[in-house]
Amino acid sequence: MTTAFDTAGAQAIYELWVGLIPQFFGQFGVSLPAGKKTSHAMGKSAPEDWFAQWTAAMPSFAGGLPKSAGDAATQAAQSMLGPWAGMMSPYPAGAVKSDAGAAPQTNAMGMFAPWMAALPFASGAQGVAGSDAAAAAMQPFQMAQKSWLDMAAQMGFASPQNYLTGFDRTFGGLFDALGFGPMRKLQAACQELATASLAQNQSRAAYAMIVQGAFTSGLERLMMQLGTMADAGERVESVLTLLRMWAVNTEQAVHEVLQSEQGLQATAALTRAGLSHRRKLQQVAGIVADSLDMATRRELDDVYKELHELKRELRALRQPAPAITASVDKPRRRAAKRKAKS
Amino acid sequence: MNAAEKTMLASRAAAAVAITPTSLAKELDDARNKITRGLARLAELSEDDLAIATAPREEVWREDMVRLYRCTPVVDKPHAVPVLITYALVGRFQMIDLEADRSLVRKLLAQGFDVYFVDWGTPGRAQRWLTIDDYVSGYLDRCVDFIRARSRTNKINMLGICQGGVFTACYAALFPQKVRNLAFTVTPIDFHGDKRDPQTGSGYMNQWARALSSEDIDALVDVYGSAPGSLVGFAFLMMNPLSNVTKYTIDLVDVLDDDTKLLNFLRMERWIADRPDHPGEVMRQWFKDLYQDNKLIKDELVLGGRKVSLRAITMPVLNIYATGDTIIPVSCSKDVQQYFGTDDYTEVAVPGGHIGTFVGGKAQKILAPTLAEWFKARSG
Repeated sequence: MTTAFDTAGAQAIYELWVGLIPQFFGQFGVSLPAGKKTSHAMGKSAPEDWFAQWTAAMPSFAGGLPKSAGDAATQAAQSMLGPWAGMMSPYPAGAVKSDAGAAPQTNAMGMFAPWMAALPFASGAQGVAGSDAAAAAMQPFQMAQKSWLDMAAQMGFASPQNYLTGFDRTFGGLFDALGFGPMRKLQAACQELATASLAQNQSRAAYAMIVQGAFTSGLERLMMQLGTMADAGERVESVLTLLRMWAVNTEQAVHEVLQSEQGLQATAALTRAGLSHRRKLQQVAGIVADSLDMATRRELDDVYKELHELKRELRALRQPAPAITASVDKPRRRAAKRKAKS
Repeated sequence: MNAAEKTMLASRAAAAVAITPTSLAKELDDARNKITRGLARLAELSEDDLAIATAPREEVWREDMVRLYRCTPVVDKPHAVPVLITYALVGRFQMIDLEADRSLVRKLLAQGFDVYFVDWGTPGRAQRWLTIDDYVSGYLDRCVDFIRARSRTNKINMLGICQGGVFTACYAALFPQKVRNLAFTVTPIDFHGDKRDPQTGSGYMNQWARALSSEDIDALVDVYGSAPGSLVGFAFLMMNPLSNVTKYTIDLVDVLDDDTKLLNFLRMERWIADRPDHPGEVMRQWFKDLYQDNKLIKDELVLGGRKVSLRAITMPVLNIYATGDTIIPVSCSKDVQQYFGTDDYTEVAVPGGHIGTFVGGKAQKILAPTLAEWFKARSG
């Protein structure tokens, strides 16, 4: 089964583009025959017109065309390059169109004159370095240097994150347009992960300090226990026994410390930091999964959640179980009685 | 303690240490011999030697990852009212039948009971949304209905263990018409009981949960989904960090040349290592509603839109707690009669810790006989 192709839409787009070509070249001073604006069926004439307009604009193609087309192309090119050539005239390379050989040189020197005047070693001030003239010549540079230094000093007050944000605001849209959106997200997520990782390490360190304190306390308790034993004339003759005594005393100290307000808060902080770190890690994984068109954890969880909700609804629709004795035992007893009578 | 006091203490302590090079060498030699013999024995052991939960049983019902087993009765005519045992989600059911001579199940079977138990299975990622209500009003209720239909009885006996005890109590409160007698062991009822009687080294989970905010618990569940079994296991290990260090080092060396103790150790490790993931939503409700807000005793716990009122539990209640339980502090399990609606309430203390209740030598002599006698007296 086939479907007829409707060419009207494609034709309209084609004509729109053809109509735009003269306008585009017109801004450079190129005159081209206007594209056909009337609607007509897509035929052989259309590409031919289109090609003629392009060849008229391209002098390099003019060789293979009628003279009138070549002249028009040359004229178009000259008028297009004219403004550029005029703009470039102060430079030697821009003198290609000058008739007099000295004129380009003059133009070039004129362009460099302000620079030469400003530089003592390259101007009339050469040889009188340190003079007022040289100082005056250096002043603009010094002011420029100071303003740059001022800007650098001002930048010092902002955090790197501020600059990253500013950079993102400035170029973020451009990066997205170029297809770097996921990379930007990933970079931001990795930065958050690094921050969370740092916070986790800090909470681990705080927790470790508390536990270390408990171990120190445990050792002191062991010493006291041994001291008490020594006073009572008791002796420890086994390394394993000594190790067990240390473990019992230290565990007691660990329990006390971890069950204290400080210990509980440190544990809670450790838990929070661990959760935060894991969440950031999941964000990174989610961005990667998303960019590779793989199902993320969230998406799967949503599906599972819906499944469970449907199961619950199904369960609610089920009839409650009847009373077993009444429904099963009574009929059986009746059946047994009937059987006995018969 | 200043430096001088420390020096004095050290010199006093040193006087008590009488370890000589000879005694140290002997100890090291003994340890080497034990390790050598132990390694040889470890290499000889087969899977059958290490098997746990070996009491004959039959799977009679299943849904999702949940299984209901009926233990094969060892008497011709078991008691008419069956017993359903419900274990916690944080471990596997094998604890009730760890070894042939340390098996609650076998002891109840020997007493003539018709024993069923729920195996919650190993919830996966898809089960993270399961709530306590899904377990209580869902799986557990359907297990109970199945047993009622199969045994042709309206009410059954229920025994809950730890978290399973809370589930069972909630079930009995919501479906009292289906429960003849309610027993639970090492079960927290008053989750803030430890505040009244704080004990060092006990109730760390209670304190940790209260040190967190409600938002922290939400973050915990959102980030982990289901709590990995390894994470739960690590939390239990950290409750007694030093004891666990010595357990796997010097204590283990001590039992390496004792076949019975070595097998006990290995079978227990097999059970410990098999720790399933904990569904996230159950964890959220467990920590927020129970550990943080203690809603069970306030009749404020809501499951599936229905309030759980312990006052609705008017059937006989047996509460067994362990005197050395540090995971569920005694004060969370003991003296909770006033919260129940029953007139027939019994509390029994057994020696030992949380798991020792089921496998400890002394506790074994009390637990199963007490349960058997109590159920028999109320199932006539």
